[in-house]
Amino acid sequence: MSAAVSNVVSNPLLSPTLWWLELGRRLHERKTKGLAFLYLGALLAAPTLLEKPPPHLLAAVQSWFGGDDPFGLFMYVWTDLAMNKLAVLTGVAMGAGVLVEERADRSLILFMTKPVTPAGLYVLRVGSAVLATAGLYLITQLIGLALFSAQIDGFKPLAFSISGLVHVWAPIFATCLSALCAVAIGRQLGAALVSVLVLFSLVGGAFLGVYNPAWADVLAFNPFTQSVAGVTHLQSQSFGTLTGPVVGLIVLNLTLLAIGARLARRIEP
Amino acid sequence: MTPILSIEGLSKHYGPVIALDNVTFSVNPGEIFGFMGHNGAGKTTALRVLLGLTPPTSGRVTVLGLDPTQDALGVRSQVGFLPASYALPREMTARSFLCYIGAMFSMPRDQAEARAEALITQVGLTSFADRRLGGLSTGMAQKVGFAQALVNNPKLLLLDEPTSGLDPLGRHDLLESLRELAETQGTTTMFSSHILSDVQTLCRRVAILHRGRLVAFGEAEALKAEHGAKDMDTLYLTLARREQR
Repeated sequence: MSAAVSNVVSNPLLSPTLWWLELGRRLHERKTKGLAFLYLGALLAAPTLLEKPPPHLLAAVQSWFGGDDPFGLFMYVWTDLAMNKLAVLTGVAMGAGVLVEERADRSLILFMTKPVTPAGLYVLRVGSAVLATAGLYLITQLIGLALFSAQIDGFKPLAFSISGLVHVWAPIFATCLSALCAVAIGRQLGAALVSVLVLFSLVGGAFLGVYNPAWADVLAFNPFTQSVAGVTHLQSQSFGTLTGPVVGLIVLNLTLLAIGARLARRIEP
Repeated sequence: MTPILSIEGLSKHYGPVIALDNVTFSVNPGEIFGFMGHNGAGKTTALRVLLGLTPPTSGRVTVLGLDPTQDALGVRSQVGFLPASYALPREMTARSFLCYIGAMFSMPRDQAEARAEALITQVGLTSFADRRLGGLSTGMAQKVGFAQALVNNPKLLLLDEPTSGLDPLGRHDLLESLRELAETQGTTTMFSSHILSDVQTLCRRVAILHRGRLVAFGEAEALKAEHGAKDMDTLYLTLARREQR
């Protein structure tokens, strides 16, 4: 009896068409549109927050980040009070439902009976979530660049841009971690709760090394500490100083993606 | 004739629950095969094993000459599947969804779009092609579900309760489509249903499951004659009652 020859179509994950359609699907989701409104809100709220900063906050920021540059206060408000929180919300909204939300609404079986492995489907879903997350963040930064140049005294476009290119890895990390929680826990609500707890703990500790330099080395392992490196190096900021944190964050995210893909193999529709 | 699908001594246990117990039957190329049994009889479990979604506890399964436990993607690339219980992605349109499914079979964009357009016409979705799937009626949604099973022009169609929830006209249209596919393209269909009149309308050969066990397999007419049943309902009830004794 002759051995049957498998007729597997070439790996669809290598198809730009599939990625393009997947990204389109992701961008049409209500939660993506809702997040876009939140980012827009951050753009509008940041200058308002800076109108009358309390003197004690100004003094604290000056002592933490050095110098008396008002741009330091702006970057602290923008990065920590606005974008760090949005990073967590974006990550949980985009990542905590990966595969498990579709399993709960019974649409997963339609995709899992096609020639794509569960791990491949996981990579596709997380990949589109990461692209949408990064897109939302970077578009917000671009609009902010134009808006804040006109609104904020002493605004430094280059420092703002470099800082954003590091901090964009914060929502990407949040997305990858939430997706990992989704396939590890198997339920969207549980994954969202665990992700929120872990991510807000990390956000809360992001600047602890700045507040108390004695803890800086220990807290360097916090991905959010690395992602705010652009703010903590405002005085000596360049692409060179921020390469380390970016490389570290890329490796961390790829590791989370690989673990999640491995766990996704257990998912049955 | 080499079967397009064969199941030999298939058992599937979920802990203490025996979903399938030593089931053996085969499906020939080009036929519309009836896979009957009440809810919970094990039909869906068998289809999941055939697609490589879950491994069998014991036994051997071959689909299009491939072992789904070893080459699930090879099987899925040549098979079309319509699940019994599913939901369409609410925020996509029929057109974008079918195009997406085409891309999952590695079709280039223009080919996926052309295939989606052809299927929209084939299943009668032209007026609804650009509506969000979340707003479609049950009948229309089932047409989209059927169309997604045909995207890869499959050699073998596995349909799990495809007429469930459809009105008489929808049922008639779907059954006619299956007949046409078999006649014009030689597509083999394994048709799982607990609506026995549908099976009687379409299928020459059937397998009947009851509580995970195969209680009959063969030509429907011969089975009816053997058990003195005038139709499939009577045949099924006779066999089910015999098993319950």
